[in-house]
Amino acid sequence: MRRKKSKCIMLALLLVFISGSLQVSAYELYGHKLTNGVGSSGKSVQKYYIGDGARTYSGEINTAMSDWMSTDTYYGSYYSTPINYKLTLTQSESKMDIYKSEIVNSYWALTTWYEGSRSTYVNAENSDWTWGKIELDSDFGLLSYNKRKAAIAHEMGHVMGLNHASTNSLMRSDIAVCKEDITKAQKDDVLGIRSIYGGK
Amino acid sequence: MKKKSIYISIFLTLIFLLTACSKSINTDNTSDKIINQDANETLTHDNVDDFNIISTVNSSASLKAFYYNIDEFVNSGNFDAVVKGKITDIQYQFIGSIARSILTVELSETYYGDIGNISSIIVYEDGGYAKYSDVMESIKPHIDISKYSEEERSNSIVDYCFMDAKHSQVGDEVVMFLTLNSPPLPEDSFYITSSVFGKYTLNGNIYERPVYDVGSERQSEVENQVDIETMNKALSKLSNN
Repeated sequence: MRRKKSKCIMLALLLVFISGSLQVSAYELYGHKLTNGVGSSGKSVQKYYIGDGARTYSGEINTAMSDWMSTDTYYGSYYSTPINYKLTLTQSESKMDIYKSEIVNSYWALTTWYEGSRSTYVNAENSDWTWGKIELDSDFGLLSYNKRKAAIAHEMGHVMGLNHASTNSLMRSDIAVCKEDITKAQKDDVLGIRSIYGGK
Repeated sequence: MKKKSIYISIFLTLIFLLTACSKSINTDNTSDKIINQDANETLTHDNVDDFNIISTVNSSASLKAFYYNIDEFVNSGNFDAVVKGKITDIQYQFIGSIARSILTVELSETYYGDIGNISSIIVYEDGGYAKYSDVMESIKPHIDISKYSEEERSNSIVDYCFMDAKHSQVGDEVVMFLTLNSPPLPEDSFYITSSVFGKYTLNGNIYERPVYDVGSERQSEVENQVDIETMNKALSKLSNN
């Protein structure tokens, strides 16, 4: 009886350990989200805006967004998301602004979350946000096309609510410099978006 | 003669119109312009408490380089200078998308780099405070400015938190890995290699840096505390070179 009990405990501990290990390779969330969502696959559209300096990278930016919008094409219908963005030339319509810095920074790209109404503290871990701002480094052009696209897609993931995650995802913290050629959302990233905003 | 002056008038009018036109086209409210502050109105560690923090915002960056521990940092060779010193003054400026802390660091030791015969250096650190009036231009397309009174707009600041790091304080004793700035920033100033993770602040007998949430299975490898002995040992490799 005692032996059976200890076997059960061992098994339970093993399961806890395995589930803990599996969690590492999954998505990570901030716990909050874009107040007005990420669009609604055809029903409603969110807008993104590209500032003058960043227009050099319009190709990478538009492809990165297009990839986010067609995850079900890559991975099947289970990996669909409501993400539905359209480029706008009217900045006030945008919920995701992309700019290029005039200075050389210690980072390739940066995301800052903003709250449009009165608020005292905006932190993706503490409160929802209404729009996000992505800044590309002045030296962004030194990265390869694929790394530029990956870095932009990664920052878009931050704007939509994804935190840094495992090394087999787009949201890995070193996406712009890692050896692996990840250029778009991986399945875990998509599941992260689905857990925040649901599927299509 | 009359014809000639008409031509000159038309020519001048055209130049005027073209100038006006080019200005009106460039109405992109980007914050990727360096905002020059009036020297009299510079935010500093001395006057920052006189303002109300109207909002605190946070940023996350894809760093050009991140080193998991001090030895990895030293061995990378990815810096122009490595120094130890004390922060004696801080000014704040809104540059690009975020506020920066402009640190004056009084040097006590230079482990690497040709700093020259100077006693202090200027270091730009990501994160800090910006006057709301400086930030407003870049965010006003997205917010209803009328929600803030005129007084709030002129007396308020925005606190830009960079990857959850605390802002530097005057008096902090630091070891920093630095990269030289390039124009339009002063070429004799530096930024911190690996951003806030390239600055170690002495706290008791321990040098600390912010915890970087790498989010991956390598999180346990991130070392954010180094005791003085280990730090000195790591930096001595640079001194020997």
